[in-house]
Amino acid sequence: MTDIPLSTNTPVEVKGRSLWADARRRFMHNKAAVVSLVVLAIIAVACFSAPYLGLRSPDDVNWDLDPLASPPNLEQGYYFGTDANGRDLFVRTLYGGQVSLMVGFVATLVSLVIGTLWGATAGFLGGRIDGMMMRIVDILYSIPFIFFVILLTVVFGRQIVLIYLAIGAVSWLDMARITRGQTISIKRREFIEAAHASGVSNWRIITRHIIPNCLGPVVVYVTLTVPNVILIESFISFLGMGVQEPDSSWGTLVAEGSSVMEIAPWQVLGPGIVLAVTLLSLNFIGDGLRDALDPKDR
Amino acid sequence: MAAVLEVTGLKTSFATQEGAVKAVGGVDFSINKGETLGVVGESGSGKSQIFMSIMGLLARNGSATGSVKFQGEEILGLDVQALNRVRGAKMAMIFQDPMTSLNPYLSVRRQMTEVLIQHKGLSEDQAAKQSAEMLEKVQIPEAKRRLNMYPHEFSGGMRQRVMIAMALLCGPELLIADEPTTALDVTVQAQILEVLVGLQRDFGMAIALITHDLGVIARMADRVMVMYAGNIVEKGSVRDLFKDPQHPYTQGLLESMPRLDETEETRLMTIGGQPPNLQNLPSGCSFRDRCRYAFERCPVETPLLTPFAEGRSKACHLPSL
Amino acid sequence: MLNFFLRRLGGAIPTLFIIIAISFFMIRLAPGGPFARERQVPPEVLAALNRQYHLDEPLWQQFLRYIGDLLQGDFGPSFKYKDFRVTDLILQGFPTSLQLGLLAISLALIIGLSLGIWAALRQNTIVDYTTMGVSMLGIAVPNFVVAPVLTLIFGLMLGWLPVGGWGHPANYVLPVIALCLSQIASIARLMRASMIEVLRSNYVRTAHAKGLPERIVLRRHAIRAALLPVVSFLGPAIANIITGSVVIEQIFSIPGIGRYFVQASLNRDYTMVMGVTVFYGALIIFCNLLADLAYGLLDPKVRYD
Repeated sequence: MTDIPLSTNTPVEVKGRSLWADARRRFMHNKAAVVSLVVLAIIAVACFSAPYLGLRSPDDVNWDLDPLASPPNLEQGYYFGTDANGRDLFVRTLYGGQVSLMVGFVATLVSLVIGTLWGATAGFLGGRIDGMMMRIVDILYSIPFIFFVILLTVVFGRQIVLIYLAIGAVSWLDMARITRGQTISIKRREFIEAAHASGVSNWRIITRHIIPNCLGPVVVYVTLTVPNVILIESFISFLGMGVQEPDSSWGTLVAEGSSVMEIAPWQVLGPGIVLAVTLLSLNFIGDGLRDALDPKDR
Repeated sequence: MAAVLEVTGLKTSFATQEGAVKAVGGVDFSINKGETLGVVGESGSGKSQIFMSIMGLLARNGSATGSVKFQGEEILGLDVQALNRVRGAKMAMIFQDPMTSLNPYLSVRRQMTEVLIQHKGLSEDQAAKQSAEMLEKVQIPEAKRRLNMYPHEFSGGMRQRVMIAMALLCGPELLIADEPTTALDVTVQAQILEVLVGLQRDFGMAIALITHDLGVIARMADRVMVMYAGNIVEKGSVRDLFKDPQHPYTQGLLESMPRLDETEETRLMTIGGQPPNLQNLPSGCSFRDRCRYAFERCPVETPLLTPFAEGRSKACHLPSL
Repeated sequence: MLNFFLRRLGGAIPTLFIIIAISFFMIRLAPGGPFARERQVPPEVLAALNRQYHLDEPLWQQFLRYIGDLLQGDFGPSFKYKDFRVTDLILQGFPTSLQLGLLAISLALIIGLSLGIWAALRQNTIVDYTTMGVSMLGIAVPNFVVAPVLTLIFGLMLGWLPVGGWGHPANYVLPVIALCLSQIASIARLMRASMIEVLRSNYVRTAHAKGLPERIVLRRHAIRAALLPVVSFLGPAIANIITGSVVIEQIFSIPGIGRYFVQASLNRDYTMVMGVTVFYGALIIFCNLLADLAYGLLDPKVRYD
């Protein structure tokens, strides 16, 4: 063959920016994602600092109101109005946010741990074990999990911790698939082979190369799992099978609100909008991260 | 000799976020009836983009200006409908990667007959018959049976044969072959080239053979044009150009061929360097940074492609090498 | 093709078995048995109840009995409505739920695919950005928020559509829209991404090079190929619609399976909850099978493997 060697010269080396610095730059260019990040931070901070903001208590009933359920009133500080029991819906939405966001966080953590371990093990071991482990994932995939979560709450009663775990335990499948695919593709790459050849231990290869390289897609998927999990929790709470009075989550608030929508539409709008904005932000952030980290779109 | 294709002042650029990339910087050339023009250059030299512009296949952010006359008729800037009467019928193209250039979801039959139905108005049956005949001409065994198969059931070399057969269905005047053998095994490459040579003899079409493989050029082409950074740097017959290259770049290319002795090759590698950034071309000659003969005039004045002997031209300030 | 189908069917059966097993044993895990939370049941009544529902038999025997009954299409008696079989309740609600679901999935496909193709063909224009922005909204906003808001706007404020009731075609509009909105959005985004990728593919370039009219390039070459990811999404989409129908039926008081399911869950009607779970599981598996078949029809590589 008489290929021209000129073209095989090393490509122009752009200044050695790391993957993460590069990703951050791309992420910062995505306006929707950056705005979403700010919005989400505001919502989260507001929810978790609600007890220290000198607001009303979520259980305080204002008997002076007539009727008890009154529309938003900025002068009196009822930004979202009050519910049928005369409680401040804005405050209740913030406290409900604590539950919803915590579910999102904890359940995602559960799914992250199970999913990455399962996927990385299957991918790294390969062969028959890999085949079996992924077959199990395939089977679990076509099971209508929400029904099982509901079944679980029917059987064991409505314990919030149980809901955390149940949702986490059913949302790890995608995570496992992604980690496995990533592990396999990394395992085959030259730099891993080079590391093997130069006698670097398996453990070091996993910690120094495979895990950092899986991180990108996993981070993306984590941000997309959180809204999903929040959605499942709200769904279950909406049906009356999740969080119980006097506690609230965004799902229960929307449920209460939608039942009186005809006479008090603000009751569904406040929590509904906050829930929607949160989910929207998380999705935009996930999308932005994917664009920033996914080498395919570069 | 009548020219099938006459290109004058063709410029192609791509709009990117970082500014315009000038892929082709104004080229003039023609292809005569029945001849094979070899187009050589490294990746990014614009050799493919010339023909993508001609075929109206530029990416969405690309645009081409200048003039392209096919059989005397201007085809650059034609609307898609008018262009479609030419491409696939009188002017066809095959691509580098036969594995992805065929639609994996349609049978070979469907992909071949649609060309004849579109351009010749044949019925499906007639089209299928002619398609099978064409598959035989590119030496695919059991053509009738193979016609009904899907691309994934063919090997890479077989798929490229299918591509060639598909391109030749309507008996084009010009076949543009964009690195037709690059993605294939060495033995398969030779077979594909053989098929091309044979078909050219039978059909008498002109071929524009785009490649970075000088061996392929030596075997196939009548004339060669050498591309560098979007411009033609040297043009001439294969015999002249291989025997006596007159542009430093061409010389470098030829010296890098393995059959030359080792010391020469290593010397070239040291001059190697990088092709220039097409977003921001340097002043003067774009090869000057890599040129072992560069002198004061090179950064100041852009050398134009000028004839210096019968049928030969080059873009270099040096009178001769 | 038959081979492919049989293999998929072979994969579906263990899945169904696992669904049945999980739901069966989960119910039996309930602390103190299914009737333990009933108000103050005297021991002899509890024993009688247990006998009536065969709860005194060994677990494996109960399981075999349950599977045997299922094979005959019998989901067992309802624990709450003593005179009803779960099968009857399911069959009673199914036609309504099926109508709702079919309408939703058809609408989701028609609108979602069109929007996705449209956005892809006008990539990076206002049309594209708007469609994708709005579809993000559609994905993010849960259907139980969409449903009340739609009702508020079109039912109460504008008065165009009935808020409740069932039977009249107008009653279908809001529930179906609320149910399919997020699927429209998902399908549109998926189709756009896949279409953009296909439009950049080498084989679409080949199709253009062959001088085929734009219409044929799009229909025969691009859209057909771009459909594949959407077809793989069909299984999850159907599952989402089924799950969503539970909430939608509840909000709009639609007499479908979903509503029974919610009531049964709140009533702790174990057999009913279990029955619906198994029924929906089977339905989703069946739909997945259909989606697989459609995929096989579109992709020759799968067909012949």
